[in-house]
Amino acid sequence: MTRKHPSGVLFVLPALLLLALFVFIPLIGVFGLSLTDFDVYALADSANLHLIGAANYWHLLRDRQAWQALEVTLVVVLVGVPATLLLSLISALMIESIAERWRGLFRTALFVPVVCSTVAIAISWRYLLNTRFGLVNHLLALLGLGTPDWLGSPNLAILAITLVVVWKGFGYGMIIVAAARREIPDELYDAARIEGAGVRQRLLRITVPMLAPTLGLLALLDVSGYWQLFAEPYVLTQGGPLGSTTSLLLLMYERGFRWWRWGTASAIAMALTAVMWLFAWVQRHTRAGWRGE
Amino acid sequence: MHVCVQELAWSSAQVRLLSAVAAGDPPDVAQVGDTDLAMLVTLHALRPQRRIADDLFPGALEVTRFDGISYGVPWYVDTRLLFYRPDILRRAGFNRPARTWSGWLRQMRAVKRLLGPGQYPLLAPTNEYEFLEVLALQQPAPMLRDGDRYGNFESTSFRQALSFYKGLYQRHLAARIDDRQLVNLWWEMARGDFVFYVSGPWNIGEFRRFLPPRDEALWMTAPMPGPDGPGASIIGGSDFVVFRASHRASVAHQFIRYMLADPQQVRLYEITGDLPSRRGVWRLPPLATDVKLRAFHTQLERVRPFEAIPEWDEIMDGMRRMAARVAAGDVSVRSATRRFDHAVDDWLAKRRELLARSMPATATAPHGREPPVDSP
Repeated sequence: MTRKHPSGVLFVLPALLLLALFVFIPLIGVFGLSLTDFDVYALADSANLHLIGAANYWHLLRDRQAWQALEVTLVVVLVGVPATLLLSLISALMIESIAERWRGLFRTALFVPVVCSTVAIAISWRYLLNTRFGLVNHLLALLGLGTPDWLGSPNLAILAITLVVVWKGFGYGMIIVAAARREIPDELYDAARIEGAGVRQRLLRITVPMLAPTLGLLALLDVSGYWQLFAEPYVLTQGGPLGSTTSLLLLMYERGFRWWRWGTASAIAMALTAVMWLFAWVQRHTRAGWRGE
Repeated sequence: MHVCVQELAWSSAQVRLLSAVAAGDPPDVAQVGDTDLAMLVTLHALRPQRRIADDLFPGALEVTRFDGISYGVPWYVDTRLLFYRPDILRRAGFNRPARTWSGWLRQMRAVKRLLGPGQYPLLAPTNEYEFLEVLALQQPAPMLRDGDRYGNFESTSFRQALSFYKGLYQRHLAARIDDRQLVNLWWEMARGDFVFYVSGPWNIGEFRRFLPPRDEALWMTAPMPGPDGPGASIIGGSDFVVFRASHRASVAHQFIRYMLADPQQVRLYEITGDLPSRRGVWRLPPLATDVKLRAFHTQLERVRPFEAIPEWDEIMDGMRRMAARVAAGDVSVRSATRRFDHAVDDWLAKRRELLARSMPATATAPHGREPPVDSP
């Protein structure tokens, strides 16, 4: 009835509690940890735990491995997200344009990678991309295109990882985009056709602008997902060769779980959080501008 | 006695055991890789061990000792040596693998001429650090100095090992392959894709599992060659440990004693190919009669211990990454080792601090870097 009725708060409360328990409180904990030198010695005896201020962050700024990991992750985000969106859009429009009875088949086929376990997918791709016995190189050799060392050379390895990530991810966007496409009223297209608009004009002036909010949402989801790249390089390359596929999250895992340097690992986690926030902020503002047109 | 066994994947076992210790709920007994022991000892998670057998390989026993107290019972031992193709080596004009680096290089060059494209004289997977660790341990100076307080990778010793390693990859004598790119290395070896393979004892079992009995003559083992004579190798393997939190220490002890008895050690070898840690077991069949084990016995008597500190695995992993850059030609041996020493010094900072606090009398190590040490 009135604005001050507390039912709204009550409805939000369970979700807020869960968020607090699993996101906000751990985040504060990680931030606290990132200001210490928590490691295996500190675990043995808390007397070996020191508050060292921002030292972990200063170290990170001078850490070649960290910068490389940032670069690797950034490449996957900057190449992977547009590629995923483009593939989602194209496949959705193609699927909507084919005969109804084939639609289900294609939709399922393209969606299958999304629901498969990432590890299973990565292991399959490891075989497909094998330099000497992989199917990919076998086909390339048949076409006379040589046999690149997909997972063994730094430039190709990051490309291969991006390919796998995009291949696994675009089916999800496709389903969402296809649904959004169906929501666009036919009248718009009819009117455009009467006005003499061609296929290209209808695509760029009607379909894409009408899908913009959906694409924006997908971009946000993909960006936050790709920043957290972990399983694909972990299984396919273990971060190699020459660190060319060590993502920030993989680096954090190594520092934390393999070498028990929790202070450093927490600082990496906080840096990753900060970068993601920054990205989301920029994205929201550009998306607002986009919608305002 | 009723024993509940929980299987852990080897790659994540250490992480899970440490997590269990941190959570205060470790098992009674566990199998722990011997480079992982130091971290558990640092955490005061383990009970000291009594002497269970007199004929354990001394090298294996040595790496379980911290300040003179043993915290693990070697269960099986492990070292690295050469698996090779005797027939191809003979075709190249050699009866057996060389004992020195220079002789080995000569053999690899001769073998290379017999091989086709995509085939290599040597396989030493680039994601394993053990091969370079072996080369480095064969040198007089250790990899860490001043009581494991600083890196000593810029020493002539290590640089020689690294240069040899780099040469193998740059002259295309060694395949630049990590073991995830191998689909079935035993078939590949039988096909002649690799002539030498630096690996450990578990591969005896694997070769027999994947190759038919008629191919038994296609592979053989030999001790590591050294810089100028038979070379040392690393000592590895697994130890039984008993956790401090366990309430069943005496039963645990009984269990370990049982697992180390002759029949169980022989059985372990039969099932897994893992090598018994007690010399006595090597005099029993089938170990005594297996010609492919002789090289292992020889090598196990010629091992050098690694530095048993919690940071060792991290240092070795860093060394592997550094060596990969050197082998790729991205950076020179000299500047890579200098930079790596600084990284290692960073990783050891807390260790230095703790040592300085616990032993003020000996804490005279000066601040900052000194020139590398080259005397053994």
